[in-house]
Amino acid sequence: MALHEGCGPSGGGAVLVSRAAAASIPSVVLVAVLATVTPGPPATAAQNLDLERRAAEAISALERDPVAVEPLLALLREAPRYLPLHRALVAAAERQGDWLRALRGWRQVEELAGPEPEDQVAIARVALAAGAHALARCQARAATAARTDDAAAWLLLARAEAAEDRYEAALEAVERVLVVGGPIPDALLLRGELLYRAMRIPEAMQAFAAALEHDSGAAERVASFALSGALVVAPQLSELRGRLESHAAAHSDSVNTRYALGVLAVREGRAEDARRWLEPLADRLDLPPVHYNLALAYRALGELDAAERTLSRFDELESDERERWEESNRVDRLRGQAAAARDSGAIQEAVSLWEQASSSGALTTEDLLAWGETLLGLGEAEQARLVLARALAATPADPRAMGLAEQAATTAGDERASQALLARAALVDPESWACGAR
Amino acid sequence: MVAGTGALLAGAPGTSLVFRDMARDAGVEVVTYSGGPEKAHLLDSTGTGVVALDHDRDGWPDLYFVNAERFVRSGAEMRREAHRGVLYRNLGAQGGHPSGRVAFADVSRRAGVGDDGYGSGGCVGDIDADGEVDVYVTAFGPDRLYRNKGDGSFAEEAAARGVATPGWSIACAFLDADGDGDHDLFVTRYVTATWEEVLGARRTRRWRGQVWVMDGPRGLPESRNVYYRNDGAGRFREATVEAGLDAGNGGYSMGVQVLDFDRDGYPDLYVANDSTANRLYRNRGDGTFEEVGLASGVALSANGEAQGGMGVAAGDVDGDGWWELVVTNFAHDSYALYRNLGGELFVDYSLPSGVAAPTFAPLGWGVALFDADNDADLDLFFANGHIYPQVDQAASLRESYRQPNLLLRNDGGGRFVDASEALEEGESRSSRGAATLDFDRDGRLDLAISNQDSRPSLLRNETVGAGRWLEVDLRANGPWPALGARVEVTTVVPDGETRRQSRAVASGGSYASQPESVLHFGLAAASGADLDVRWPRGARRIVRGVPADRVVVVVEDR
Repeated sequence: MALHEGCGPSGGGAVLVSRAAAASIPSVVLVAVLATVTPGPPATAAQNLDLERRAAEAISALERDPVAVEPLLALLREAPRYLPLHRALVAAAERQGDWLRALRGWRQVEELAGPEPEDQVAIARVALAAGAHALARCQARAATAARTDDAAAWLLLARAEAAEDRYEAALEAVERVLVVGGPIPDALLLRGELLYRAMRIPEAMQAFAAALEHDSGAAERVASFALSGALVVAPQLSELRGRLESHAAAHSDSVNTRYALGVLAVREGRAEDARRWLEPLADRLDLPPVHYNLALAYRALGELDAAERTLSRFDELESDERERWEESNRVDRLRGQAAAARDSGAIQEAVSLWEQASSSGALTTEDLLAWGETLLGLGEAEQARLVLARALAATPADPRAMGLAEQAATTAGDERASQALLARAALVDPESWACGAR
Repeated sequence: MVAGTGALLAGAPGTSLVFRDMARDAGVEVVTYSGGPEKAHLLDSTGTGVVALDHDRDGWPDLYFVNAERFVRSGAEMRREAHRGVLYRNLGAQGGHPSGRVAFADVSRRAGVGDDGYGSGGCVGDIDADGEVDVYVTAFGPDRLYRNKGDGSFAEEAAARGVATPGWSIACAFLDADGDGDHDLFVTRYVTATWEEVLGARRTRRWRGQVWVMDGPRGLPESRNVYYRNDGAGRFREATVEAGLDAGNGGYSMGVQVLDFDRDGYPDLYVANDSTANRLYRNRGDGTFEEVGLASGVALSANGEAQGGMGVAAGDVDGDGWWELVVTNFAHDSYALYRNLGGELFVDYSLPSGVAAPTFAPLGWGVALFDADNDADLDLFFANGHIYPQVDQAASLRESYRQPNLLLRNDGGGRFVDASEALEEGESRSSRGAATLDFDRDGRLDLAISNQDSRPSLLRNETVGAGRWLEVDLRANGPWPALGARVEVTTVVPDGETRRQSRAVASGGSYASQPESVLHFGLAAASGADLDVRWPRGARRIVRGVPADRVVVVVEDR
């Protein structure tokens, strides 16, 4: 068991306590910890027991309601270095999906407990969710360096590398997962996804097939092209098909699997089977590909009226889809024209085009940053802040978004906001954590 | 009458596919341009096709490379620079090969075919049934019709004959749609655009979130395809609506393939569309068509999605007598192989056939279904090349503008394996049109490829241990080439297996290109074959016991 050293702010004696032990809060250790971290005169045993009871209550309340942080914060004012409280706050933030708050909590934990591989895995997970990919990679790397046989750490490292488009490094990490953890379905799926993104399509199909061999339920997490591909290269297709059919029969919500089985049946000329899978699906999933393949099955069965009806429905849906696409294409074009105008120096035209695009549809972070930066260049700091706030809302840990927003806040004279953004930037900067410390 | 002219070539076990680029050695060096280097408008990137034709009827296939224009930036303005299409005469008849060097000579000026418009593609027919092959050239701007005068030269007569199609045409095909013995014409058209829009275009679309690229085609105004009916004297009248070809018209059409998918004896039309559903027009037998693409399963991918169709080829991939369709598509979307289940229904067989995996990443244009190794099945060639040069700027995209072409070998049962290592092309280019021809008449089909803003590739088939072969030159009573004529070849190999293969003479196909009209058959180890010829107007001729390894000329009885 790894031990680490904790030290109280009041200069009390050093206490050795394992992180795991602290998390499980055995009362004998807790008393010792509280004795060292409580400021002011030495606490009595009774005081410590009272704190212990209130901490347990506050943590329990927070577990029931992640918003109920106040009692815990009050306790932290009394015992600011009490790890379980920090961990409880982190857990609450994670449950709420407030990844930046969770990262701030982890920062406290790391400061108190030092870098622990298990924590680093957790921090990497949170950083990934926050979009702080560099930090996630840093933490996962540190964790794998410390615990070379930790499959979860390698899997996170693979995900972090992938998030930064470093497919070869991600694949190396995922291979390590499979070596140390065996054929974990998530890793097999990720390997397929990475190979697919690296344009190594035949290998990707093999990987997806391998994932399905180990877990038929994985079919629900694979895109339909990949799933169809996997079914083609699967070495034991009839066995796999049987397992997928059993899975689909047992799980009424397994729409992906049912659709894949239907398409497979169309392709293999098993029109009756295709109808069996696709007909019920068409009632639940009113989507063009389902109707299209069902129509082909009807045609193969000679049921021409049904085929025509189904194709009509397909046409209706396609027509709706086209309209939606046309609208989104119009917005895309405005976005592109804005970027082109900015690049050619037509700044006012660019701003006007972004405004038009923004009033018609959602802009990407990339657009918002370009728009915000252009506004900043025009000296429109307040407008820039509004635009950049939208970028930050979409990608709260994006370093460029934070940098531009900080610049806009400074220009607008909002020192407090500027400091907050600098702090946020520091929070996701790997170099400010133990994993990236030089 | 059957006349043997070819040289004997023994087949040998253990085949090693080899295609070597010898364009430079053969003197085929025209640079085919397509707009500016930045490719800010679609017109900059659709490229050009290549036409294989025997324009002087000397038995050696010649090549016509369509050319477009080069855009050169001059200050704030974009200047248009004309570049002529080039007709290369195959000098084989002058003793150049098969014994030695293959050589072509630029005869464009003498032949009068040096079109300096913004060309797209081409196809051949015989508009006035004089037995001389005529050439139609599609373009951004009025299309051209080069009538063969029979003395090795041509006269441009598009306007006079009613086929100077305006707008942006891509591909074309002649066919006797109404069975009256003359060649009608179908032309695909793409986007409606003006020169001002083309030259002033800006890159306003983000490709995979990384680089700014040209816009379209979706969101740009579509252009409609055109069908012209021949009056028998070589004059044309537009008959798109009365022929039923207005159904599903538009949709950014690119390649077109004539085939008889339901084997009813009437030529049907398949149109590959970019980003919208492909179309299959079934000929009703009276010169009118019904659109059956969606209902037949050849309009969309297996996932019910429209793909970015570019080129198309047709042929019997699995040896069951029914012709499959192969369509090249945009990048990040596999090319399609539609398996024909008996003339009414197709299924997307791209994945099981092995076509999907190697074709997912590249962007495809020209396509050929041909027997590369003469083993009596159809292999596949794909000409690839991206339309966005900007993909080279973002390494994380893992794409390239210049892409290797692909050769997929048929295992005999309709499953393909990647054999692209056989393509010895040197550096990759951004390829567009592609056509098959046997330019050295050695019984192994070669490939001509047009490359964007680069010289062409001329891939000589030097496969070692290729099987035996036959090439069939059909001379019907009527126009030449004998469009619509079909040949079924039956072979019995030494182990007793009977194999049937079919080919038909067709105009157009691939991407804006034209293969040689002499039909090629690989015979594997068979020493000869029986030929069942069906002439365009239904007459039949059976020729038994034709020895292998030669070109045979079959003439229709009068």
